[in-house]
Amino acid sequence: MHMSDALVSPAVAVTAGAVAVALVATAAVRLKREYTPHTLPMMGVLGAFVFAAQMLNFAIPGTGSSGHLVGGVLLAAMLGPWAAFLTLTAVLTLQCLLFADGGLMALGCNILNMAAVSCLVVYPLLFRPVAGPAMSFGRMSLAAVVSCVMALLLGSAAVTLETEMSGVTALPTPTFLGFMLPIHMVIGLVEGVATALVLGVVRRAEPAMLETLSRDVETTARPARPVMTLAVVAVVAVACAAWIPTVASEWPDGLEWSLLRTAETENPSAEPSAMSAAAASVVSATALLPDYKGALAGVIGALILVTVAFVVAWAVRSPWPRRRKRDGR
Amino acid sequence: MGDKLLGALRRLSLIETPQHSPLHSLDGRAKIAVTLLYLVALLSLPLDSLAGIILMSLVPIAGWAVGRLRGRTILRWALLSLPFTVAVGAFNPLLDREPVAEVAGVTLTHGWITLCGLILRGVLSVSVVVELVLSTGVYRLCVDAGRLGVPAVVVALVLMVYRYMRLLMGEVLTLRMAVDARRQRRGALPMRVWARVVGVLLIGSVRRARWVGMALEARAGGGVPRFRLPATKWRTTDTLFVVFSAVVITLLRFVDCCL
Repeated sequence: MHMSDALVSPAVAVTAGAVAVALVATAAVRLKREYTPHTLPMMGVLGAFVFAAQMLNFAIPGTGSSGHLVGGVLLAAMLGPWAAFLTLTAVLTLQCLLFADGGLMALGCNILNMAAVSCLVVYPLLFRPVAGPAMSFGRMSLAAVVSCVMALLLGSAAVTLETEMSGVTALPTPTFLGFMLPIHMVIGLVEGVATALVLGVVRRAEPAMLETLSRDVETTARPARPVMTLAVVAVVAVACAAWIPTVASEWPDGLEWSLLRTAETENPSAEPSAMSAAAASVVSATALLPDYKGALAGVIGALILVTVAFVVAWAVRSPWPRRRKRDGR
Repeated sequence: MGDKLLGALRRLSLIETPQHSPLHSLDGRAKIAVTLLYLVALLSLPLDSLAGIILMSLVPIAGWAVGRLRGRTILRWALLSLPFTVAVGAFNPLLDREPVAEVAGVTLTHGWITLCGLILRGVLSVSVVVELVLSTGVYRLCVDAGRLGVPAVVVALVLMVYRYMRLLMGEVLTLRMAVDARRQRRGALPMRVWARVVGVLLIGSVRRARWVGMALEARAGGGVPRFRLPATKWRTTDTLFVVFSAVVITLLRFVDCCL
């Protein structure tokens, strides 16, 4: 997923670079404020560990191919978001300089696509809430898989948008996304399983290590706030819902296409059967937004979806640790 | 797998091998500035401006000659970055079929031209970065980036990763040999075995980091460690190099506009 210089225009490179520089400066300031003698060695050695671990491939069962660790979510789980972000930035810089993985001008894009997305977006908004404060093996594994998939999906979507904005490909955005997202979802799944296995080994061999590491490195690590998480997810969902209908294709979807091929007309003149008439009446009676069009329907749909997700999450969430009653009360 | 690891270790050794050439003797800051200027000029060229992109290759060729660098190493390094670039550009000939020229009876479409432009741009942009790294070394490059304003903690972190990278790669090689000897075969490891190997490496790395932290605390009082190298002074040759390169790069960019 490393973008090379050839894929970015100067405008995109400079804009992404400016955002990356701002994030790196913020991380550096935060780190300097909370600096302990163990901070830098921990980050440096774990960054080197990511490089070394990438040299070991594992066989992907049933495919005959192999993969390796990427390490973004693993670093965030061990170091905390800001320290992991800086460490991944250092790793990406060295990958660019030593292994031609990504270009110097595209470094800002790569920092945003890989380091910022996995450490500053996915880790606090997804890994922490899913893993929970106790970090049981099951929840930690689930968190690792979900986070890796989401990090790679968001990262690959960002790569697509940056490439399209640079104007170097004739591929339309939806088609490009159609190529990138499924591939990266599979890679994310494999990466997630690998991350979960490694965290599992560490947890079994050195149970205290995972708990003490983030305390050693980043004292600013705070428990995730579910309300904040949901607010951010809701804003992103609403923004996507408002934007996606504006770029939706006017061509028929798969079902409509096959119907057209079969009937060779958009509105088959044949009389509908009794079953389809009954189904149509049920749909028209229950549809909230019949003949939906435009951004408003998308926004309303997303809001409904987020509300339902919120209610479900609220219902199944594990009990949040409550404050102990003070003595004498 | 072992080859990949050995190749990476060999490359790291190659970078820090001291060499002497006019390019090596220049200040790292001057080389960073010229590299960035070249990249901006190269990337600002339209993809279908093949003549301009080909002209731009004069700069890395000059760097290769003046720096007495190995062309095969630079090219091999540059080709490593191509797969994703080619994958993205491969659709251009299929989707953009506007004919632009005819060469020996073969019609060249705009898509083919942009694909060639993309590949050339990829090779050239990596080549200049490789030349920068090979002629400066990572330690000097990072220290000079710090002198250009990169925060000290970021410089120290990059150098810390770089320093321990080689050490941990050596450990991976040992672990790998042990695992292969036990399995009596090479190739990708089963996931469960892989997780144990990487887990052991991770635990060892954390322990090592704690020792390094203690050593730093004892030695430097716990502050951000400074990586010191013999100081280089900005000389007239550096100024001349920057001015001359800027003029040449601008001219090359300008010549393309005239073509």
